[in-house]
Amino acid sequence: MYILIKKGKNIFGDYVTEKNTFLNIDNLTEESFGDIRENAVENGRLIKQAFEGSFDIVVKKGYCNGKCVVFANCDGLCNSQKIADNAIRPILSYKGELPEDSPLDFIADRIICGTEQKKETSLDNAIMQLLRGTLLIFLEGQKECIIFGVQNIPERAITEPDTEVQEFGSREGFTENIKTNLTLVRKRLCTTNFKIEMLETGKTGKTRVLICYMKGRVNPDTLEEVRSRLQGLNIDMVLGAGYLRKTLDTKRKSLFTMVGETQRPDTFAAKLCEGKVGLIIDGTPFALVVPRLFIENFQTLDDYVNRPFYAAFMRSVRILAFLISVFLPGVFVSIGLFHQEMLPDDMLYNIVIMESNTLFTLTIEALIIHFIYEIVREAGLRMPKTVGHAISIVGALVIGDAAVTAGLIGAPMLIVVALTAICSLVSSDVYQPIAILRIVFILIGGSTGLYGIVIGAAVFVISLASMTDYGVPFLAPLTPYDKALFRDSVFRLSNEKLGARIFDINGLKMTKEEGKNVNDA
Amino acid sequence: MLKDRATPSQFFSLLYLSVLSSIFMYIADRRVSVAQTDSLLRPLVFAVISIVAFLPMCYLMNKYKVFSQEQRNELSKSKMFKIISVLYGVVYFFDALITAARFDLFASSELFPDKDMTFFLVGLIIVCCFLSHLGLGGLSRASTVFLMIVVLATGFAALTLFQEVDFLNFTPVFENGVTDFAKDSLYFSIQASEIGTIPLVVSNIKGNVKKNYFLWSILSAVSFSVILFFVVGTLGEFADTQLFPTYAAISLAEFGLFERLDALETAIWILCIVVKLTFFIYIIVRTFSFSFKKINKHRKLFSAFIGVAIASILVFVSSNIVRFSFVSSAAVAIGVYVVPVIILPAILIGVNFIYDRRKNYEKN
Amino acid sequence: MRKIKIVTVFLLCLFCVTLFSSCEKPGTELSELMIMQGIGIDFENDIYTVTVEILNNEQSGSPGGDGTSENKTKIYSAKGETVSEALRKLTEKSGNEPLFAHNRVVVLGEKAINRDLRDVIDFFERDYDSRVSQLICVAKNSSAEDLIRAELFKDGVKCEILENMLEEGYNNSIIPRVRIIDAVNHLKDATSGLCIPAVSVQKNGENENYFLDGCGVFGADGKFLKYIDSATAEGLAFLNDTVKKGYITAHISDKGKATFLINKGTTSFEIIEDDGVLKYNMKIKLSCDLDEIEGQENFKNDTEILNALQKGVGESICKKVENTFVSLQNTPSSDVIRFGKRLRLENLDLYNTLADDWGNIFPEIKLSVTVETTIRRIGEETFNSQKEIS
Repeated sequence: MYILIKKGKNIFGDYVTEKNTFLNIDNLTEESFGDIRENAVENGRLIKQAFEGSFDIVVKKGYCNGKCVVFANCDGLCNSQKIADNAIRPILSYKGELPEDSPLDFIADRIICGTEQKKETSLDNAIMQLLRGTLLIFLEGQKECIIFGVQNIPERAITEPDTEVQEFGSREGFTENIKTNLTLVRKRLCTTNFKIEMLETGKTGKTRVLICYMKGRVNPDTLEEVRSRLQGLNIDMVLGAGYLRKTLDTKRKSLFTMVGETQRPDTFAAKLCEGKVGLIIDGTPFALVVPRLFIENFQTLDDYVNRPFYAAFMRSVRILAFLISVFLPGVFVSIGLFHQEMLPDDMLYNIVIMESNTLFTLTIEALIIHFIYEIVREAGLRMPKTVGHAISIVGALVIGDAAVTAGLIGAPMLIVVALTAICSLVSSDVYQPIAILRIVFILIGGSTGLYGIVIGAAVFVISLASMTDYGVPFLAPLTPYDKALFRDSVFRLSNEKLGARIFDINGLKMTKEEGKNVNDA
Repeated sequence: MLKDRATPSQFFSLLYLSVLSSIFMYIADRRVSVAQTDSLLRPLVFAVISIVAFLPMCYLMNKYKVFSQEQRNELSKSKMFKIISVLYGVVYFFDALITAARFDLFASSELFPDKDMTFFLVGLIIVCCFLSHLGLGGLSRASTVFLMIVVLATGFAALTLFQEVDFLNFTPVFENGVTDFAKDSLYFSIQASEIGTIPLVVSNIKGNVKKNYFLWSILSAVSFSVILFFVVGTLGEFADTQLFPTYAAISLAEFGLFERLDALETAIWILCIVVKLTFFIYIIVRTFSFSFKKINKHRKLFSAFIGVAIASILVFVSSNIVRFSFVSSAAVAIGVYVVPVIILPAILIGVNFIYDRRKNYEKN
Repeated sequence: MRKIKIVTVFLLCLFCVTLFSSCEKPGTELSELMIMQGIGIDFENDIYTVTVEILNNEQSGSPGGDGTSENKTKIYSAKGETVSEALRKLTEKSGNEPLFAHNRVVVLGEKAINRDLRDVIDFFERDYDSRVSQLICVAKNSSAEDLIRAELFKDGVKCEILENMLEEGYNNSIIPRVRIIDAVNHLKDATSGLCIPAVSVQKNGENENYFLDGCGVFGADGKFLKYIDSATAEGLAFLNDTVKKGYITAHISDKGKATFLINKGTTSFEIIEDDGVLKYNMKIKLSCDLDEIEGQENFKNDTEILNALQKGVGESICKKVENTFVSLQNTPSSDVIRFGKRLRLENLDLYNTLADDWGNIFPEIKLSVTVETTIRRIGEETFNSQKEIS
């Protein structure tokens, strides 16, 4: 990972940029302060020096039975009331003797009261902890300090996630706080088998990442793979879940990803129970789940709450919507340009009359209107919420009525695009590939007709079928077909039929042992 | 290699699609009449011949299982094997060429007769070269999906055609005598040259190959018969006037308001062509890279070369109908079937025999 | 690797550029199509004249037709040495590209039928775009051009009306259905002739209208033989085993008449050779509903009526079939009912000996007809309802 730094001034300046140089992450260094000194005041000074006098770093000196005590914390990340009540006041007002050996333990065990406290000898680590919202307590003559947990990191309330709306699911969603997120999962998985490992990623950001899994269900290979990929990660900052996606995904060039993303703790817990590995990342409400199958894009939690027949129906509707949103504009363009004979007489007549007044060929029409749609959509996403109505009115008027009356596009094309746009919103997880594929298929359909579209679709399916990550084929359990798991994929059988069986991703894993090597020639 | 791994059902669905493509693009030949009830029986002979032709390959595969890994490695290093491997590659190169040429004729007579299809075909070959890199695993897995689509689409068309079947379109069985029937059947049977590839890829197929092969040949024969039943039943003697009788039959299918479904059906059949061509290119690259270390290093470059070779020969062939009739002549078809299915396995068995003899001799 | 990528991208760009450049325009714009609805073929002085009805796709306004006074279709004619040439010449007149896929009917003019039928329809067999299921009919006593240019009462697609008439005629078992594919099948068969429905134009005051006017009979060699009238053509459906629906009026033992709606009808044949004379035993199974009956009070009871009705239907059908068959036998080599093919399927050896001389053997064939009628329903009224009221 490189950060681009432009050397020199721009062309209007004194000298012209010769070459772009990159700042290599591997060269990034931080000042080291070594171990904690015996002099408590010195430690306080070093901390001040480390932050070069940032005003939010608070260092306070006091005395406990004649011995100097230095408290350091980062204002804003901690609860000041808690610091005063639980640490400073008991220490400073302590009148008794401090024992000669391990006085810090005495303070920790007898004087201050709190649940989270530990000792640290390295000043660097202590500073790290300071930035996580803890209080550091240095005592004169001790080469250690107490790290006292008084975090009060500002966070958003738990709200319903707006990207994954469920009709019948819980209304809780992940927040940006890693602990809250963990709590939300923990309360759904009351078992000792639920294991968590913590990693820090990012050279500068040092973002905490929790690797969550269910012991006994997760495949050790998958877990090891995730671990090693994260440890090998060379990145400056992790500001969102997507930052980790590129190392977790091996097929980086593919439009589809085998790394799932969720904002819902219930979905997250369910995926862990299927034997997958989950990642909760500090500072983002999106958790990652690996591996993810293609069919999961069309499954929702509601499917398990609804009646099976309805769930099965809705799943097929979602798949149909996906197919429509990818192929319909391309197919329409190709039929209009190449296969007019496929349309029934009256339909052809009506379409011909309506299209005969337009300016462009069908391909160009389809492209124009899709670009307009994407622009309107992007504007709707980024603009201030207060102008939302204005955009939708303009969008509706421009795309809808005016374009048809002006003869820019035909009414049939408008219907096709409108249907496509609505369908593409059904499975929001695959919106990105859909938006790209749609344009690709319009181009193919407009140049080579249905035959080109089918060849394109073949490429699409074969490349999806050849995707395997963490040993699991992306299109499973559709192909390779797995009878047991298929019953909860495209459709879902009733709970009685599924019985006590749980969807287990490990059933799909391909082992690495080689087949019989008969005449390889 | 994990990416080349396939189950027998996946692999045989690939082979099934591959042979289906020859019935979809079945070219009415002056030598063999389609519009006869006999054509419905020819696939039965096809099944029998396919099963018989499989026996030597079966023996070969069984024999190799007995050897230890070292023996196998030693064997596969021998020059003999490398030459045979290249021969396989050359034969399937011709096969790919024939398939592409036949599709070219099909495309330029039925798909877009008034357009220049060269670019379309070149595009198809580029696509197949690319897909052949994704490995046998992906291709066979995708084949199961394609199989469903093709069978559903063709079955649907057959259902809509059912009302068009006329008893008077059939002819008496063995009207031209049994000898003619046998000859035509043999000619019909040699379309499935794909079966020669089984020994090449069997190491990637985990499961019971023999049982699945048996099922495959029966199912292929039955589906050929069903398709030909509709061709003969709906078209009658008209089938003989058409270059592509299966296509002509499908163009009769109509469903409610939709009176022409042929574009949709042929589009779906193209899936078979994509699978077949991709599989052949995969086999060519695999056989050549087995024999030449350099090719093994630059597989992508080599497959691009194969693509360019097929495309340029194709452009040469397709510009003249006479050249095409040479490519699709009986002699070439027989050669492409007989060499990989009978001759090369026979040579391998012979080599085996000599190898065994020599080993016994050394022991004694 | 990098080089390969560059080459691939270059090839793809070339591919796209060639397809999108104007030199090879991909596809045809809908507004540039000449959507054929019907094709009429005339032949005079060694020149073909084709008349086509095409959809008027340059119409302004809504497709519903309201708010515009323009016609839904246009008619063009062109001449050429072959059918194909004449059709291609149409492009010069309309400026659009022809689309044969939606063609509904091919009308053969009075003079065109004197040509070998195989030559006339070869284009439709060969051209990929044209459907093999389009219908053929003969313009009786007029040219195909006159038929297509007829001034009808209704505004609309004339060939659609024509197509509907032919389809309905077939569904009511009045005329046979002849598509391109049927024509080819009959003519490929060494023994079979062909019977193509004939349509005439009738002057009706200011306007004209179409009506089905029997059939034109073609020999096995594709040559036109003669016309048969509508009444004669009615037996063809039974002889061809293509009875679908339709009606039949029977005379019941001189006591009255009754009309039936046919539900289902099948015909089977048994071929017997007796001293060099071929005998076809034809068995018709018919299921029908009573639609109207007169003179029912003359019968004693229901069973008697039913028996009489069944007998009446049988006699009526026998008469029809006999009428048709005799009319066909009067002309040599007019085996339009494919008796030769039936013999080929049933007795190949005998067929092989007779096939060469089939034209002369066909008139000698003896036909015996057995009709098995089932009356399924008698309608909403009982038989003796009128009696009870009186």
